[in-house]
Amino acid sequence: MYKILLVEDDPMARQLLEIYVQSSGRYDLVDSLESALFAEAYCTANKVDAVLMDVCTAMNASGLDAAESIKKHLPHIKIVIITSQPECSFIDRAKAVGVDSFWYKSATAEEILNVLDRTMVGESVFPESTPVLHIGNADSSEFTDRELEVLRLVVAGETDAAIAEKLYMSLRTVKHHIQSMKDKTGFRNRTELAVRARAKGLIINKLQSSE
Amino acid sequence: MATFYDLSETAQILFMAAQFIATCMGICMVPMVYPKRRWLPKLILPIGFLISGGMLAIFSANIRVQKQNLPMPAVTKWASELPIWISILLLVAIFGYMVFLLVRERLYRKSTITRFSIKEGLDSLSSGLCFYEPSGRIILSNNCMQELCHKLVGRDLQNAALFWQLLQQGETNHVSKKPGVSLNGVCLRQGDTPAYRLPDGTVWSFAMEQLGSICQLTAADTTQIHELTTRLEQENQQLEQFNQRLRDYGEKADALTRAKERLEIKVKVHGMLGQALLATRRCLQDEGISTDEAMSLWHHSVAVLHKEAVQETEKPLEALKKAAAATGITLELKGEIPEEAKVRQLFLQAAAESLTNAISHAKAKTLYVDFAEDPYAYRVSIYNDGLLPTGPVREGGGLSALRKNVERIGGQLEIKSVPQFILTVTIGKGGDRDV
Repeated sequence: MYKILLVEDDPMARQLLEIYVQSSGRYDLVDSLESALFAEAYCTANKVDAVLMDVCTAMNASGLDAAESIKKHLPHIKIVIITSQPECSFIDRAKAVGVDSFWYKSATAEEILNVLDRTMVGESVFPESTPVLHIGNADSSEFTDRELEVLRLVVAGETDAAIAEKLYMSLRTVKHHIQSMKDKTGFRNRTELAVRARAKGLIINKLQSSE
Repeated sequence: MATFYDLSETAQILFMAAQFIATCMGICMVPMVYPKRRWLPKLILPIGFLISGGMLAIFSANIRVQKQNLPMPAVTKWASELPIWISILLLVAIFGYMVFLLVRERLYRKSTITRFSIKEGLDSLSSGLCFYEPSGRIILSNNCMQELCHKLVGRDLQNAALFWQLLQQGETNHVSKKPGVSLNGVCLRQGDTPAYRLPDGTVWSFAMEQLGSICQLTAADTTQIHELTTRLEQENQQLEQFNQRLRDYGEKADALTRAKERLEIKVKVHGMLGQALLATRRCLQDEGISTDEAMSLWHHSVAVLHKEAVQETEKPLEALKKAAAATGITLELKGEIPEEAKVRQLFLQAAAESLTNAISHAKAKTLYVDFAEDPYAYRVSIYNDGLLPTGPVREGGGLSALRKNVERIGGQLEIKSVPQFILTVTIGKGGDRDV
């Protein structure tokens, strides 16, 4: 049986995933951790075949950061990222750091176990795209990458000048992107745009990340 | 040929008056002509007014001699017998030349920069300008500066150095409790570039510059700039409030997201309970479900629901201890972990990174984590009892990320490899975290 390490901070979600894994008959749950901070240490000291890990874990630790580190030092361990957040950058970052599979927590037990099974035989399972969210009058797929970068910093409460500096843009370009998103969504101001983007889960900033 | 005698009395008086005017004009024009370089006017002008003056004297003497029947001097007789047209021609020539000189002088002043044009130019400026000696004596000051001084102090500008001192100190009538001179208006800024709002609502900024041995005091109307700046500051304040509310919202949004996630799980658990009920019924009705299978479904549902009832997030240090125990490492803690969330988070990241390195590189059995605090900073020092580094420690991805996170908030990360590996993170207390 494959040895699975579970990293999930919500107790109920963790319990549910533990049940899925343990009742499958194919996997042995070696441990479950609340924070991705300790995932690599655990994998280094114990035999682990795969890690089933959330993105947002306890102590603001990013599962994607931990995945990158594990993949670098222990490349034989499979990593399956599961999340409930439709955040636009998670899939791209997961692919970039070499995560084996990525899926959503809203899936049934069968779906999650199916993803795990396919991953263990070498397949890489990713959703076709980030779930499309309706933000005002627009779909999240209508935003360009640059607009999403600007939106991320708007949600973080940064001023236009700070956004321009961080993204190496002119102030005018920042304002143009914000106006473009407002026009697409029909929102009256940037605050409304930021609040809706955060509420829908399109942008999640609260992660301790190395980026 | 007509002479002076042949003119009527009125004509004689008018002629002599014209001579008098020409003489006076000539005398008055001397200061205008003599500073110039041209020698011809300097020669002709005095000759002209001497001639007209001489004629005036001769004809006056002639009239007096005639009226008083006195004997006429020869020169007077000779001059009086000259044809009158010669005298008129001379007078016209003298007048004409003087008018020519006056017109030329006027044209010259209009087309050439003179000391007068400099003053005229300064007075036409919309800014205030004053040049003065360090003692305060004014060399040149324009109307605008004079007006400003009058509005601010209530009197003419007489001592520029004192005026500048008053401006710098910002002693206005509104705030000054000392007797003596103080300024009308509201002081918006003191110091080297003082600014005042005058009673008429305009805002003026002053500046002083030393130009060798002369001081230059300038005043500029910055009313519009001040209004725009004030409006901008207010809007920036508003924006900062919005941004803070966004940040606060972001914090709350996490809780909302977790609540949504929890709700989805509960929906699943609801489904699991339904399955358990169905399985139980089928078990009771001997429809192919064993008791163990039914019980298993109940166990699963109850286990998940139990987690909700006892949902206690693990304390960070407990998580570290558990992780250390799970990796076979003994954790020795000393001191108290700081309460401040961001500092605690970074210290735990350092501990986690050190735990990983202790296992993979040092093959250690014990990890020591010492928390310390002084009035200025929090500190954590982490070391182990494993193998000593063979050389300088190369910072991999984990240590680099830790360093970046620590330095982002003004902290310091220090790694020593001699005589043993010690990782120390120091983070300053308070708003300015520079250590």
